[in-house]
Amino acid sequence: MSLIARMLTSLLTRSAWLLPPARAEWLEGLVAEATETRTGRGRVAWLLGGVWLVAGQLLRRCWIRVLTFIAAAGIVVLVVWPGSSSDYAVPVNRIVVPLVLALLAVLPLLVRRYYGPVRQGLLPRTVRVVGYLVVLAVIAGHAVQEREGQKLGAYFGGGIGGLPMSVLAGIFALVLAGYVAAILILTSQRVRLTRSALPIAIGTGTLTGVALYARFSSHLWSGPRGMLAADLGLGWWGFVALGLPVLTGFAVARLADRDTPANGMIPARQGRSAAVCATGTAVLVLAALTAVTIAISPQKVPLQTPPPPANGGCETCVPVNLTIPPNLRHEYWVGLSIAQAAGASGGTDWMLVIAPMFALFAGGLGAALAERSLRTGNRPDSPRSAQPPAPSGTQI
Amino acid sequence: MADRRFSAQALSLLSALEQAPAAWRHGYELAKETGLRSGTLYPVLIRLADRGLVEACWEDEQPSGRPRRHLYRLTPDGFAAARAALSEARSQRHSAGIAAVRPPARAKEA
Repeated sequence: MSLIARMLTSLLTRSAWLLPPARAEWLEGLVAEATETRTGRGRVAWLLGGVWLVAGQLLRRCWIRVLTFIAAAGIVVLVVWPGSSSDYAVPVNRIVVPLVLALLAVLPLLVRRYYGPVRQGLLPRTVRVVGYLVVLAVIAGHAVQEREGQKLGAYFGGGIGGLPMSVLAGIFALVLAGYVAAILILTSQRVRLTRSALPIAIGTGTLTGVALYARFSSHLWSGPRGMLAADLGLGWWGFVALGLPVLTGFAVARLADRDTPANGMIPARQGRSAAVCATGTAVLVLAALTAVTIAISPQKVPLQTPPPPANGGCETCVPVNLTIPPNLRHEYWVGLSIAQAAGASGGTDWMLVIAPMFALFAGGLGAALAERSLRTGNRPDSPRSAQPPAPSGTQI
Repeated sequence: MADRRFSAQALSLLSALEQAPAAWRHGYELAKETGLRSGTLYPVLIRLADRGLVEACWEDEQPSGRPRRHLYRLTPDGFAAARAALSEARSQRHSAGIAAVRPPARAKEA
């Protein structure tokens, strides 16, 4: 434990230069207190508070956030750019991904205009930074997955349902931009939520997303022949799209009734927003983890069932009446499986679009249940009905 | 400062500082008294200092056997704001019948 404490002390001492001199003094004060009075776990906990302090101070500085985005966006471009132009996905990625990155760079300015700057506190800033990194991971993983899945694109142009891949990539980019806009709006100053709304929504969403990924990849680590799951199961998707938002909407609407800041949203709307946020977080986390896993290990994707038609009919070609030569049919099947394996049971791509819509409805249901339970528990003779309204103003 | 609300943590800290407004206090002492962790205590102290409610300085002399301490106390504005906020919180607690301010937890943390 003393080794960890020494390492943390060294880390904090060395990271003081990251802060302005007036702030660095506070960090030095914290470190000095640790060396004087505490031992073992207590000292480590005290020093971890210093790490939290540094992280909070860094995230408050705009240029750090801008540099983080530029660095992450640069990595995404480096990951996405390579590949042969005979691969159908490569030129599409080279156009769509930079456009998406430019859109992500502009969105905070647009949202700031209508919803104000980021809300005070470490959590909203952390949610923004981590949310951006997760979306960038989805973009990079998805682009690589498409590249691996469209290698025969020079022969058979990719697409789904008669839509060419470039259009699908554009739609997918807009969906991701919608997620980023939602993250930015929910963490803005003018969207006033109860203090626990964001932690509950993000926390439950992240846990659910990680649990879904654990289910999806449960056999991947079992050995060299381990594969990703072919099907996540309708029950899991049902929980993400209906169960999770009902529970989140109910919990947040109840809490918001007790502790809504001045000029805040009404509890029911807070419940709906938190429900959509929880489901969106779960699907986004799952999409990032699955896309990156598939991009790293495309050979671990199970082949789709049923296979493409035996006569070589091409389901995803534009136009759809092309015939695949016998010597390329297996390769096409492998590529098709990889391209469509972003998740399972309909695919995470689709869930990114559909799940928040279900969540809006289910969250409304949860919030309505909360309001009903509050009405029955908040009769005129109950003590809470005598509670005065919260005073207005900013909270330190 | 009448237009500003304080979080429960900030009120707890203001309450601790307000008990001896002239005395310089160090972070660990305040943490013990309020029960706040360092990751909560210092950001609150910084925010209060940014608003001119708390002032900070280093110990004048280098003591033997330990590093110099960074010390904190309320400014005159901070003392007035703390008084007003704590009295408002106490009156709210009185009228609502619920505890709005946690009293300093002196023996909470060893």
